[in-house]
Amino acid sequence: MSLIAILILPMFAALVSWLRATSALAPVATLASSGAILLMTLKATATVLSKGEVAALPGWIAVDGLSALILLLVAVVGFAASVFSLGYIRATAHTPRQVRVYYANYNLFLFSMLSVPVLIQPNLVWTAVELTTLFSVLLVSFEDTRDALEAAWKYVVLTLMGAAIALLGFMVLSWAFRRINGQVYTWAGLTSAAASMNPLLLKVAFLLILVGFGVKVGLVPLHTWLPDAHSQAPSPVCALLSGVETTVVLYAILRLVPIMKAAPVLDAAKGALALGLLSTGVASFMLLRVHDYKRLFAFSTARPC
Amino acid sequence: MFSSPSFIPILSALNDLAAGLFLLSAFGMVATRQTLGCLRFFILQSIFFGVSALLIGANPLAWDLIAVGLLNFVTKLFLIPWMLRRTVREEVYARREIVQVLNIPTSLLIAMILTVIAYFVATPMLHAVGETGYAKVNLPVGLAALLLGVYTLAVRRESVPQLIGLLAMENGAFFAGIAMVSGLSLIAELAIAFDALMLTFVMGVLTRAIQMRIGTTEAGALAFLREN
Repeated sequence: MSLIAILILPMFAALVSWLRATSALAPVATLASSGAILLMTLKATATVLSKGEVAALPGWIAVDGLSALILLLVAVVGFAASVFSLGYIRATAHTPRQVRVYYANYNLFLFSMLSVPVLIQPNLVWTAVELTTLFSVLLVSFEDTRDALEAAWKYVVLTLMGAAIALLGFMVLSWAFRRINGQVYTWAGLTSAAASMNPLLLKVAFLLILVGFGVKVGLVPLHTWLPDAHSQAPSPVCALLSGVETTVVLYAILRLVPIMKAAPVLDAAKGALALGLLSTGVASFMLLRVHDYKRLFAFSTARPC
Repeated sequence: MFSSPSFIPILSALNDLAAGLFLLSAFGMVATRQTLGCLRFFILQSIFFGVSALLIGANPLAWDLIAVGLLNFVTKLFLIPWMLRRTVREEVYARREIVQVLNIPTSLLIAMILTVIAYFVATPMLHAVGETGYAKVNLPVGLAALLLGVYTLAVRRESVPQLIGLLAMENGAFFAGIAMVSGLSLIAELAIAFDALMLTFVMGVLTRAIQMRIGTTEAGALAFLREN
């Protein structure tokens, strides 16, 4: 049950932050909800460690070892960033409206990132990844300066382009699954059915998703938006963007690797490794030319593998 | 009403027609010079998308596809144009030409090449699974519409046409999707109803902020951030 509460709490906190009557409570509500999420995540992780898997809503919401790791990461960084937000927003926000927009979007952004590891249906995971972009754009443009707006525009256009390409990939993936009359369309169901699925369709689906989500992970040559968006966002949001958001999307790609392993037509692990090495190499050389420290961090994020 | 198998040839012929017109409106988006025209071609494309969803859902009867078609009509014919007119009214109705990196005849040539590429990619996939159903038409056309969306997005330097290009890309992906994943398309219902609206809202708000702060909605003019 606590897994469902993990998803409901941030939405509730977002509502409290957005409504004018209760918006004075926004920082407290955000802090309380992210603290509670952290505690519940720790409990869920402990259960996963002893039992192997926790299912809150079979076929929809469940957590296994890999997703528990990611969930814990999101919860820890989310809590830390919400503590930091308290002072940061008090110092930088000029109007009450800005505070409301910030905390409402902050909680929704956290909600979307928590739902990526918790949801186990690939198509819903795509929706959650799309929402991570949509809920974080107004956080990137929060400071409302010329540079922040430009960064937000680049961020939203490029990552949503990627998401649309990945969407076709997910469509092809579920097509391949439906052709063999697969029943339970979850990550686990896909992995066990992968051996009998059409290898060509799997390959196309994987490539589309890798390219599409690769934009969001910041794989070189699709990384151009990343240093801009990360350096222009308010610091707590920057922490979430580089610490968690890219990792969460990488998790979605990682989920496909065992599926591709079952269909030996494309060595997905080696391909991902090559792209990761390329990203690391290019980002390392670009680091030499950068002097703004937030951009430095951003470039080090563009080295995901 | 269309549940007897004898209707399938008629329905699939009608679906072919809808797919052709869908692709044609994607070409229209490449060829138009004004934001309002771009929006109108997008609405037209969404109509053919909805028609195709209804035709595919009619036989064998699939209520989720019919729901996709109807939801699509509500959001893309009414809600999205309404939101765009509310947030960026003067941009939608501005009667000036959109700044475009390549001229229209070249763009149309490239659009044709992209369509050929889409068929080139989709045909081996269809052969590999021995597809005989609606996906035979919808997959290449959807892929072509996706690529044309990328192209319009890349050559336009105005923010509202870029937004419409993104929506057109999703239209293309879904157009392929409805023929392939009926029965698994919960995502399509959710995404069509919610995603496209959220996308329009967020990008509309951002466009207005850019206009107020920088005084232009020309996304191509945004080039302040670079390494120095």
